[in-house]
Amino acid sequence: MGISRQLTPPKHQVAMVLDLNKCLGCHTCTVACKTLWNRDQGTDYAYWNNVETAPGKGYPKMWSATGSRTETGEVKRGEIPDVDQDYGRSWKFNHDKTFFKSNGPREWLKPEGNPQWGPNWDEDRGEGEYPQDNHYFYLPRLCNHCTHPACLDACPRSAIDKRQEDGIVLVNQDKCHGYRFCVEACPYKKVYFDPKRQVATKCIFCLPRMEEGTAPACARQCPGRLRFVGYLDDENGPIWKLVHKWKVAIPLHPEFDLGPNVFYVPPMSPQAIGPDGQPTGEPRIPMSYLESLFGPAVRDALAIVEAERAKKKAGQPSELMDILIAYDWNNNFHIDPAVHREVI
Amino acid sequence: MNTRSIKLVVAPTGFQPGGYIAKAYADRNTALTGKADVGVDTANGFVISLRWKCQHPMIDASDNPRQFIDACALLVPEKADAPWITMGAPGLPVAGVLWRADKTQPMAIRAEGLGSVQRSEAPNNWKAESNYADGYWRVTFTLPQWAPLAEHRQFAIAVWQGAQSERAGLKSISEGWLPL
Amino acid sequence: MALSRRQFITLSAVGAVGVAAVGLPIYHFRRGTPHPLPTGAPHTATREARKLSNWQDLYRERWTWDHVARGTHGWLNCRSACNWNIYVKKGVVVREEQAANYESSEPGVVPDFNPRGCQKGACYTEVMYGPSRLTVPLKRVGERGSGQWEKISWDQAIGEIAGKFLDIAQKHGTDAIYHDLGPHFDQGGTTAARVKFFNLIGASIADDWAEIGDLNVGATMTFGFPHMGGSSDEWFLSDFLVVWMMNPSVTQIPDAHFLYEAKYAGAELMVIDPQYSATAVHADTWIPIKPGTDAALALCTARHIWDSGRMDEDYVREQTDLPILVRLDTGRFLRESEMVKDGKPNAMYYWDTKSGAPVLAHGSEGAENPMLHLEGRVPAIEGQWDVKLADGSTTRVTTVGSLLREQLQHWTFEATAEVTGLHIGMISHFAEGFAKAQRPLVLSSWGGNRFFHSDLMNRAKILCLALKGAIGKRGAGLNATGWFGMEGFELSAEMTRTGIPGVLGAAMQHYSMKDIFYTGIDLAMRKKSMHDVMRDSSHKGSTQNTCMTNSASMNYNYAGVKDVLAEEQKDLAKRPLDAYVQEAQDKGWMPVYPRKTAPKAWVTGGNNVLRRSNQPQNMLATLWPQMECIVDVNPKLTFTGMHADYLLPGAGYYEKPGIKYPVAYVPYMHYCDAAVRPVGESKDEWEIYYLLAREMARQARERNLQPVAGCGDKIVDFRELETKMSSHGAYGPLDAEAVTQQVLDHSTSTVGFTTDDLKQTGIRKYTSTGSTMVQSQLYNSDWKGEGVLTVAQHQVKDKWHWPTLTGRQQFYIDHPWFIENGESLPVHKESPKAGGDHPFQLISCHARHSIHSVWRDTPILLRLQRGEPVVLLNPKDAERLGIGDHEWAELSNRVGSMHWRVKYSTMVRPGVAYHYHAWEPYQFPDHKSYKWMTPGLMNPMHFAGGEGHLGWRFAIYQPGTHVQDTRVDIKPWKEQNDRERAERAQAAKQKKTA
Repeated sequence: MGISRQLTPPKHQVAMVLDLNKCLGCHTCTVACKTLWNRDQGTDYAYWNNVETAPGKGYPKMWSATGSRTETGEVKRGEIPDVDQDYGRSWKFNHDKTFFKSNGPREWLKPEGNPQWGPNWDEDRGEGEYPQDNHYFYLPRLCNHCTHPACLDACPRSAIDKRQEDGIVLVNQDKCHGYRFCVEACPYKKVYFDPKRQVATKCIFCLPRMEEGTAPACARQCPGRLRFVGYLDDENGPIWKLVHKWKVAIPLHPEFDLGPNVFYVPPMSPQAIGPDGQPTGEPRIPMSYLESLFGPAVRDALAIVEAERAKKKAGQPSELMDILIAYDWNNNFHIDPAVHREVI
Repeated sequence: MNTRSIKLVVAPTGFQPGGYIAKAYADRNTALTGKADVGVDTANGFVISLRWKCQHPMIDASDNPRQFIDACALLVPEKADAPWITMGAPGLPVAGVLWRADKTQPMAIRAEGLGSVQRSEAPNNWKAESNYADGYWRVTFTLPQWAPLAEHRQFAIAVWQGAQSERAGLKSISEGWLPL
Repeated sequence: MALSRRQFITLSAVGAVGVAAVGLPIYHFRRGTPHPLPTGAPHTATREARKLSNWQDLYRERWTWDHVARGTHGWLNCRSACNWNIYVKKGVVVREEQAANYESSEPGVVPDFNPRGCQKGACYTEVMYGPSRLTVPLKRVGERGSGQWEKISWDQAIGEIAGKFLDIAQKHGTDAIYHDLGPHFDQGGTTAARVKFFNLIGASIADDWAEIGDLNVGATMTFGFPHMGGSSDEWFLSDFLVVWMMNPSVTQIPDAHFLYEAKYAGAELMVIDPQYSATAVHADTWIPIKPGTDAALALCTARHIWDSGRMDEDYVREQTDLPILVRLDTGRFLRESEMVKDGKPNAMYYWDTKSGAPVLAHGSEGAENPMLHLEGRVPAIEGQWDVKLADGSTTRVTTVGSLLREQLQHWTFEATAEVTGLHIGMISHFAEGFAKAQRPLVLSSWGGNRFFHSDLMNRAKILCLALKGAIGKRGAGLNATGWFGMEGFELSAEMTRTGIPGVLGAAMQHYSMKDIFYTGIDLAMRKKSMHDVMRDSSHKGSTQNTCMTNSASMNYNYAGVKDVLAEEQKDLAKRPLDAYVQEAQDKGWMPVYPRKTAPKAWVTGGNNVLRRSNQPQNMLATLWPQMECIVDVNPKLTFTGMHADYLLPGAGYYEKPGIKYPVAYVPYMHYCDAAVRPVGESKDEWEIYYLLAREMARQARERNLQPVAGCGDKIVDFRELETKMSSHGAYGPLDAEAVTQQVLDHSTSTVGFTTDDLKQTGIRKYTSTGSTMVQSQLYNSDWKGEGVLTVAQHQVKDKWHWPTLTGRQQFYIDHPWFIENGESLPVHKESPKAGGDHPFQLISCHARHSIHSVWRDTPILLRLQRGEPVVLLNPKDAERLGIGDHEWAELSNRVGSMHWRVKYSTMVRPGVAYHYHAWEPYQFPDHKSYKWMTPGLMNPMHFAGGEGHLGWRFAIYQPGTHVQDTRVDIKPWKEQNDRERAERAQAAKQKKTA
């Protein structure tokens, strides 16, 4: 199960729910995270938070096949992504040679080195045949702060901690020697290596903000209002309700068996169109594809969302719909700064 | 300088802490560096040189997270019965010096078992000169003083081939403590 | 998780401390008894990181700041307005984050607006300090466009430019100085400075809206104004949402959530788009329509609503022109002048079924009674009658409704399927959904106005809504972007003294005492509403004593585009385009400035005309060489700037005070604080134009320059320029904030607002919809800052007339040009093949990762794209053409050719070449963008005037240029693909050997 190291369960587990039916694919989360934490050389290529178009190769490329878990949760050797081919380097541009006279021919603005991949390379590419069943949706991803973190289990130096207070998984960069077993082990590919500082880096769940009761930048800055932040055991908060009570928020790749604490409300999709052009009434994202991402629970989760929506349409109340609507956006976040501060 | 050829063996991955490395690297059961030439000169402090075959040298502190750097290290016991294969054990520390191809200065290391390695700045007068030629690395450590080596008169060696993703416990090591 | 009492107390304390220390309101934490939440963080609150003496300090240090300012991207031509915290450390803006201090318009009824923002706003600092930032004045030293510049001082720049302006005004007339106003501006003092300065010197000022190509002229034809739409939270109240030629997930990011939340509240979401857009992915039904056939679908839907008995007849009788009588012999409205001696030509009739006689319809332009009340009469919607005319003859008349219905009969599901490429089942699913909806709401974007026949499409879309009685109904109607009014802005640009004397002085430029007296009488007698008066006064403001020109006509006359258009449009109307243009200019329907010559001085402020205009090659070849002085006042180097003579570094969005332009999506005024002083030697535009005014006055005195004729009756005395610019010494060059305060002081939508307060909160709810021309388009004088904003209450609730010829929502236009071209009624016309008959239709959408060109070259966002412009093709099309993903293609048509990288996407309809707009030409090989192939068709109907609501009005009715009809041929750019393949192989080889 999960990992070999014995971990004491944290007092509270922070968690995030992302409602994919509200994601705009705007990347404000990505930019919010990037500008706050990873502006420097060394992590310039790294996105703790990214948004990818699914189906697609994702970021880093083909990430779900390169981690340390098989489809049945067995340990296998993972891979470290290549900076050019898999992550995409932080491209430099030739503004000066474009704007100003130089000896060579006038250039057009472009990234150096003619890159063939980047963190959002296949945006809106999707799959399927126009117009019958072409489909895609946006999948924002960040560290899952797993209950059984593969990164933690991979570190020979015990430099990765799962905090007792809140379950946030942190790389202790004072202890890290940059061996990168965590990078290769994480099947979500959400640990990065900083070659400049020679340490691993990953999402810190915006810990300094959480200590002040301010939600992580990716969540608080999301204009689609699709992120909820709180604790799995807080029955008054949105997380418990969406995950445990309504069971509409489910983890990505549960088969890896690591207990992710980032959950997704799976995407509905417009009805497919039959070969004759008639709307079919069936969603255009194949259920088999959604199951490959979210496991079999995705069927029930979608059914519950649709059923509650039908209730609301019929004029009946629905707690679930009201939560997802987020009438008062502040209620998306149920954060107790004291939980995160106690150790300091 | 007194030079000999030393057989290297793979550091057993099964000992590695955590649930991942032992399983994921169980297939690494042969040394990627089979031998090393070791030269020792104790005329003036310690001058110890290592030479090993390396097809694809990895020198740059690359900006690619996938690339690892060639390295080698000398290890010496601080207590007589410190085990070399686990880099010491609690209460039985080992000390060492680490050379990395991307660094000009060697680093001092200390450990009491796998996963416990601490790095620190080496004494100013320690040097590690390196040269890559004809498919071989040659690294010469010049260590004017090193008390545990002076005391115990034995050392072990480790070699990492960056191109083969060797780092940490993925390495080739001597079969035991080597007499000076 | 239960909290102990001790924890709660600690928590509250932390909360309180946190607010002060963090500078962010802690909205995300509420527990136990509610405690008052801060309305805004203290301006000067500092956050320091607690030191842990471990690795975490590195990260902790990043979330610290010395100072937080509230602001937004004020000058940005973005239809969203979002409140941001701007974090400053050591005088540098280190990052920005949404302030998120909005409230719900109706708590528990609609969701709130938080946190408004997008990825562009979240990284404006990367533009502000980015690679194309201008920080010092530059003067061209080589050929134009050669990229050779020298740094000069502000004194030299101002001195030389002022001298050239005076030379040009003396030699060619003041209107030979052309201010390309464009859409890059705000409503604060720095923009007022531009308008004021150029008005004072008698320069031509461009009204660029339609030329940009996205003014909703079809809405103007119907409503009398184009900018229809209330607050975006109103979307949430609809039960049938139709996103029709819009992509809010990409182009209206802060508001899009209301759509998807409405779905959860039970609404159905329909997205009509040839592309499977980022909005379509969230639809219940995506309707993959053939490009340019939207009018057909709308007409079919209208027919279905009518035929199935779901038309709101009472509404249609009162609010639309469907009952208005039309003569069968002429196709013209039956007019009072024909019925009665001395009758008015602009008063119309309907047939009253009760009295069985034609009755003069209230509300029409010439009617005595401006109200739409039917007063018990029941106008017929359909029928034919004989009426006796004043000359004794009899003529047969019918209703607009009858003509319309006859025309709609063509649009069966079958006929519509044939045109739209949609299946009958899809069409009927949509039409039936629309017909049975209680509150149908259509979202239509500016981008939906970019077809040659967009006016017809929009008229047809509005028809569906009108038949349902949806326009003016809460939670229903058309949302095509409305505006709050800030008359203080227009006033500030005209006032040359402060206070009441200044206001009176501005008014007297347009009104005589007699005008004012009779206007007062009209208001008292309720012959006119305040809206009517303000609309008139605003129109006077933009036509009298000012050289405001629609830029499409200016381009047509001077920018070398007309030959291409003559060829492209030879079959698109009954007469050649030039015949319509000349008639419009001869009759004064479309004023064109400069009057005698092409512009000789061109001053722009971020409008980036060479990036944006169609056929820029012809503009560069024809217009550019005629100009003696080209100045770009801009924080950023653009393609236009690269071809300028002087580059003056304007202050960026966080470096000057201002007011974000007032879109109605969000009913809050957004203030921009100057978070830091201007970067480098940049200056805010108030200061720049003030210094120019001072220097021109000085040189004029030196030259002893006598007053010269300006525009209209205006006499320009350059010697008085500083006196007037400074409002007789009230403002100095550093007073942009004070002038911004003046805007607030004179706007009825911002009563009691002060810049000092706004610095704390960043936003404040408008106190009313304001009262200017633009505002009149919200038409809700009951709205005083409370509740969801629904528009058109003035007409639908209060029964005042619409500002159209008939005083009603007008679906029939009897202007001779419309009759001549068969466009009196909304009809479907094929999208013309602009550029020739080529297999691909080049269709654009506003960009996700840039607002126009502002973020187009910004590395942080280019890295989230492909680093270079791409054209999206359906993979099957691209494979058939032999072009791999990310390979190069050559695109061409008879207008031009260029090179572009291809990106594969299944969202794209086969036969469409899709792209997100506003790439700078310098991002393409040879610095040639897709605009080199885009003729920019001009619809002759948009030059029409002389009757009713047709004719030029600032930002309301004017000719434009249309891009979505452009057809192109696509083939691989073989040489470049081979070259890059070889380079890649070489690089791979090197990597291997390394």
